[in-house]
Amino acid sequence: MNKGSRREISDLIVQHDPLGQARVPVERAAVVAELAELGQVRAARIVSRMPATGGILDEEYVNGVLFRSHAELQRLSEEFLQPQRVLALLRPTVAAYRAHATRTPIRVVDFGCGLGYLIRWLAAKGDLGPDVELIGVDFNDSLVNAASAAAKAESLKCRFVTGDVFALDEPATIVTSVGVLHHFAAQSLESLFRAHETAGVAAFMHYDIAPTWPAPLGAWLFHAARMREPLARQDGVLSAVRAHDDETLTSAARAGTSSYRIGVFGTPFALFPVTRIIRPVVGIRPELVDQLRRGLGRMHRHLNLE
Amino acid sequence: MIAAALVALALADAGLSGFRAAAGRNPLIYKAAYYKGAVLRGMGAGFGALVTIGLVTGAMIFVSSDAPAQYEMFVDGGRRMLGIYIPFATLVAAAFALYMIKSVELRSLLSTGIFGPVTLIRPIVILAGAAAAGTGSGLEVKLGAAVAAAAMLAVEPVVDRHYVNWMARAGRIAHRTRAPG
Ligand SMILES: C[S@@+](CC[C@H](N)C(=O)[O-])C[C@H]1O[C@@H](n2cnc3c(N)ncnc32)[C@H](O)[C@@H]1O
Repeated sequence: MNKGSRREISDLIVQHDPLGQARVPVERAAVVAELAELGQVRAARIVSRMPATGGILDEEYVNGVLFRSHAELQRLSEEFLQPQRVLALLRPTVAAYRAHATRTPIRVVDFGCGLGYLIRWLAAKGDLGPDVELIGVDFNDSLVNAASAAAKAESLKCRFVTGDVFALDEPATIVTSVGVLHHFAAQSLESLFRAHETAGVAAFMHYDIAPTWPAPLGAWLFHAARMREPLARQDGVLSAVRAHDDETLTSAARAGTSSYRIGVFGTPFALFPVTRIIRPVVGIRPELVDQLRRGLGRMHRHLNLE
Repeated sequence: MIAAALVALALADAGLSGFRAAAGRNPLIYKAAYYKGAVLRGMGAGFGALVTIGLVTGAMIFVSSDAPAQYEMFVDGGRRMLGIYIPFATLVAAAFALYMIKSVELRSLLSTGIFGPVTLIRPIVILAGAAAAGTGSGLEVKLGAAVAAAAMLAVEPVVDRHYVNWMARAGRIAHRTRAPG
């Protein structure tokens, strides 16, 4: 079976109307059947145990499962210092943009933000400057609400909006994402990147798992040890399997856009590539590249742009 | 000495159990106080486990016809336990020491390469220690070791309950609040 055709539970138990706005009811039996057909027996079993009324998955229950799974995902980001990784590239990118453009505010938009850990962390500790606006976007409104509530609880200066990243009307200067690209089929990546260009985005950095040989094993170990929600375990391990390789990401970005320098940013393949487990595909307007390289200091060697 | 070492290891293990029960359940950014509370809660539960173990072994010594000999047998069992636990604890301590280095790559490596597997095999290590203590000893030591293992394995589930409820409350608050705008 093609590994890319397997589906994550979280992608199936939440469905939106074609505009990506309203949630639509999801039939449990249909999800179970789809997973079973793909041979994902355990995933099918997890969904078949979810409560449903009249065959329709209980939305409140689904929201609860996703909230718990995303809190566990946040822990993964905490352990891997994910926001610090993003900041190492984001800070010099913001500086490069600031040096070239006068358009403010500089809007940093995180695609598929989930509970918004990255954006909230940046608001709390990122120190990017008062001209930077921090915005998280996700099409799951229950996660967006939870992200807003968490930000409010700690008086953090950032905001969260509901929206589909393929059709976003939120203006963005720099787009980030963490662990989102593997949710999309390789064929649809191109249109995501194209939308960046159309929207006038100055730079993007999409972090996702690299499909290295130890990634599925590492993901399995990590999820077995750290995660309690069966859904989080299933999806987490699968995400390492479904992850797109560098070539797929950069060629989709090149095919979808014409005004960026494209590449990946990451330490070179080490003997044990677990240390390169999450790396971004990067696109940046050519006029910002020199400044960005200066801002990265010695790390600029790891930015391979073409 | 043997007993003191076992008590220290048990409290450290219980503190980490508390941490694990709390981790992944609080989506806030500033969590130092939350985690400190979790470690203390774990240690509290660990203290309860130690009291239980102390009462059980103490009672067996008390009713024994030769109390000093019985005491010595428990100490011997404890020594065999430490033979299993000390190498394990040293590995964990070394990983923590390295974790203090704020390198993104090193931390990722420790997380998946050491902390993950170590968490997974912890129950097996606890049982192996108890088995080592029980091997070749009398029924009392076997029983004491079994109680000790069970009590330590119970710490995390006990603390877990608290954080399951904590999270359910957090979730309800999160979902009641609507996003502004
Ligand atoms: C694996 S989660 C990652 C969440 C978060 N970035 C993190 O690192 O914890 C993927 C997120 O992308 C969101 N998502 C998937 N497709 C989307 C789309 N087309 N538009 C907006 N959000 C989307 C999902 O709702 C989910 O919250």
